[in-house]
Amino acid sequence: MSNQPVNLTPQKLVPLEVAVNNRTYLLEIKPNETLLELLRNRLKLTGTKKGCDQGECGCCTVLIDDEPASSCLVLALSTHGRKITTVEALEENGQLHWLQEAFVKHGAIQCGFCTSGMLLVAKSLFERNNSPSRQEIMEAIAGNICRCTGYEKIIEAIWQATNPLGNNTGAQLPKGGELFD
Amino acid sequence: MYLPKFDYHRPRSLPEALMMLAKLGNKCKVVAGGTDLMVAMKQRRATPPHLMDLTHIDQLTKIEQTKSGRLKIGTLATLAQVAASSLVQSFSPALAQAAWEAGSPLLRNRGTVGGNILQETRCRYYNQSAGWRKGKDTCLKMDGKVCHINPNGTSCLSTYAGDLAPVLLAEGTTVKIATLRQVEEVPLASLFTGNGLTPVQLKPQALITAIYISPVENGQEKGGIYRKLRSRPSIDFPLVGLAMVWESTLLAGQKTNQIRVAVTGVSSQPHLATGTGAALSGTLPDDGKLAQIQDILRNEVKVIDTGSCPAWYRKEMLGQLLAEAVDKLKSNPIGQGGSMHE
Repeated sequence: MSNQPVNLTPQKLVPLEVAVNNRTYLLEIKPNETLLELLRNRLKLTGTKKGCDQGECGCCTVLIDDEPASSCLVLALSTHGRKITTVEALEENGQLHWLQEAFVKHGAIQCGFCTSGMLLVAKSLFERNNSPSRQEIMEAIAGNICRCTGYEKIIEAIWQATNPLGNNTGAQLPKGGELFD
Repeated sequence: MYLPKFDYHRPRSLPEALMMLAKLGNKCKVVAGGTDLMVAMKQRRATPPHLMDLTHIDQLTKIEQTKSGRLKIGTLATLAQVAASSLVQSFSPALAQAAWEAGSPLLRNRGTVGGNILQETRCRYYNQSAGWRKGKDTCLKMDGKVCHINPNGTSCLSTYAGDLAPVLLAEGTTVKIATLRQVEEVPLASLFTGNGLTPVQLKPQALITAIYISPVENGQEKGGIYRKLRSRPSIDFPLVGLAMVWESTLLAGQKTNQIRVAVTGVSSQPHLATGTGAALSGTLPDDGKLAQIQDILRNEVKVIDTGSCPAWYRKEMLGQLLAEAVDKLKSNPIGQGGSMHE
């Protein structure tokens, strides 16, 4: 046992106003809550996954003001006044988002743990660039680790979905080593 | 892992932030992107009683050209913004490239320029969870008495692994530092102590508000490149990184370069390799001379055995990175820097 004094005083709650999936929430939360904990534990939006919990794996990816970020490293309170999008917002009226359809069609989902992050990264990539190359897709998902698919099918799904009219049979996937050097 | 308890402060303007800092002093840590500090707090390497969140001070996020023609980057500009900024790319292609190569896209969207410069030094024993560290005696960096890298050592050997700092050193960047009482502009190099325990010299009441890069003089063309060795290209810190910045002039039909080289990931501070830069300046070296300059670099830079692969290897690779940077300068028309998506 360490001799360090243990601080048992309850923490002061701080008000927070945040828009999650187009719905504004008014909350009072403890300062040491991360955005990930807020989403999963308080708002029960468990589509966002807790993986490494230290910013390496990308499973906890959400969009903060439309930019993908690891929610495990973001203080919930720092999202005051911001707009959060989680994977739950993709589906509308029971209809899967076209990116989700593409993931299903191309077998880009196996265990599903990385999928919500991959989908959100793909969505934000598409909003910036509506026909990304395979290289750009690989660069965009570089922060999201998948241990099942080997990435090929995820890249394929995003590419096929975002380049529906392009000549998408002839292109060769760059080999892994060509990505960064 | 849960964050430790703290009191939360969210200033809306710079003066408000400085006022809070003046009051709270060293009881307070400052957080912006959180990509370094949140991990440190989860691992209980940092347990500040107060945390000040800068993310709502919009005035510090700007990237602009000042009236005197310099590039000014606000401390809260994210690495993604720096990498994508056409202004940064024209002033310092190497800086845009280094920002692009730091971390993963998710981290670059949150991580800021100020935070990247001020990041904590790292060590394979220190950057571990509280539970992992418990298995060993507390090390120097945690106010303990022992260094696990060098059991007889009395100084902390943790390594600075920021990606922006070497480029900024090579660019001769100055930093604007504000406290409630004064605002001053100092060379970036003066912030680094070389001491692993307190790698950066910044008063607890002070904030970096912006960094400045000067334009090139008339008739000169500028370029630069950042080369980085790492385990996984998608996310990792540099095992070693090398920045090379050049200004080229045409003199009597002959191209001469002024070159500055700086490295990171070698010891407790980023290091401006002045001898190497001087040896490279002038006309471009042939292969024989380049080998000599690689030796100058390896002798000039102290590489500490802190990382996940041995110091001799990282030292060897420094020379390799230098050769690659020189290749880039040779193959590029003057004024062109490294491409970001290379």
